[in-house]
Amino acid sequence: METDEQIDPGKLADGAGVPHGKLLVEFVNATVSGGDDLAARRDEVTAAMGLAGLVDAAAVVANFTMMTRIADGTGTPLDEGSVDMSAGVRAELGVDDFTSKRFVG
Amino acid sequence: MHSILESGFRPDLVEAQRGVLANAARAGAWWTGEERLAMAAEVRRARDHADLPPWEAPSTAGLVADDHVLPAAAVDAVWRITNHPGSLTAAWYHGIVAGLPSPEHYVELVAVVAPVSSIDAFARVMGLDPIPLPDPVSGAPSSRTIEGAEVTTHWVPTAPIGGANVMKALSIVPDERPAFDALLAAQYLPPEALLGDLDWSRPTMDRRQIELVATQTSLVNECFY
Repeated sequence: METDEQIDPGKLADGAGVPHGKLLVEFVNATVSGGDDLAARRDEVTAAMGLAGLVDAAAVVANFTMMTRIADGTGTPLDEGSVDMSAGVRAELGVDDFTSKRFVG
Repeated sequence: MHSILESGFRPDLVEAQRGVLANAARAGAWWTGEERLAMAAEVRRARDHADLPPWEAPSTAGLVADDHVLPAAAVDAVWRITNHPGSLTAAWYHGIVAGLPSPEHYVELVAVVAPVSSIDAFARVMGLDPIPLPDPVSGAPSSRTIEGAEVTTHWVPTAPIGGANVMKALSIVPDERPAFDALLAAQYLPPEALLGDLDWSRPTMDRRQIELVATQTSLVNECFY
């Protein structure tokens, strides 16, 4: 995959330049709030990508609901490559200076 | 409403989700089918009490019956993992394991809770009913142990294998792997795509769209990993 096809994490909220990206991000966000907002986002995704597209997007949401619980539930550390790969971004954003919610309370 | 079983959605997805509960209904290495289905039921009960803050456990809030089939620590673990995964700490883990027969019991609990949380999330997102819990399959746990398993990189013991850390997390309960792999392939990516085919696409979504949804979902779930 070429570099210009990679997801730009800094532009995630706007869909990172991915087709239907903004719509998909808003759909994922609505899975947390639920209710009427989620129903409306489902309709929008279905209109843009078809019912099969909605199903596949919801399946990815479901999958990472699982992976989050496996990783966080077992104390899974970042892989060494991931730590090195994200060092520049973390330094630029100052993320390393934040305290994780894990270590509060 | 109806569940995914009556939805007509793609068969691999329906079968993988059905397989999660079929797997939960069977005895694992350390818990019986009845106990594993009780964990699945607690995932659903936890969701009904999602307003319980992470610092309150159901067992101390009077929400666990004295005659529950699971130890109180197991119910507390199910609820916390279900509702507040981003708040888990090593100290919390050690406190929970102290109330269970072994760390292996805890790892198997995670291997049941996480996939059940996943298929229930799909139902919730799609506006479907959750898949009904099946009846438990009788049988005793296998007590299968993994040679060389020890605590190295994770809180939990892992098998001495290579690969991504998240894929090692449940490596001491390998009998859970087939149902997990089927769900991973149906909900996210098949093995060939996981192993490097970055151009793999579903008919409806390309790889970048899939990864965008994956990244945003991990973000809103406050995934530490």
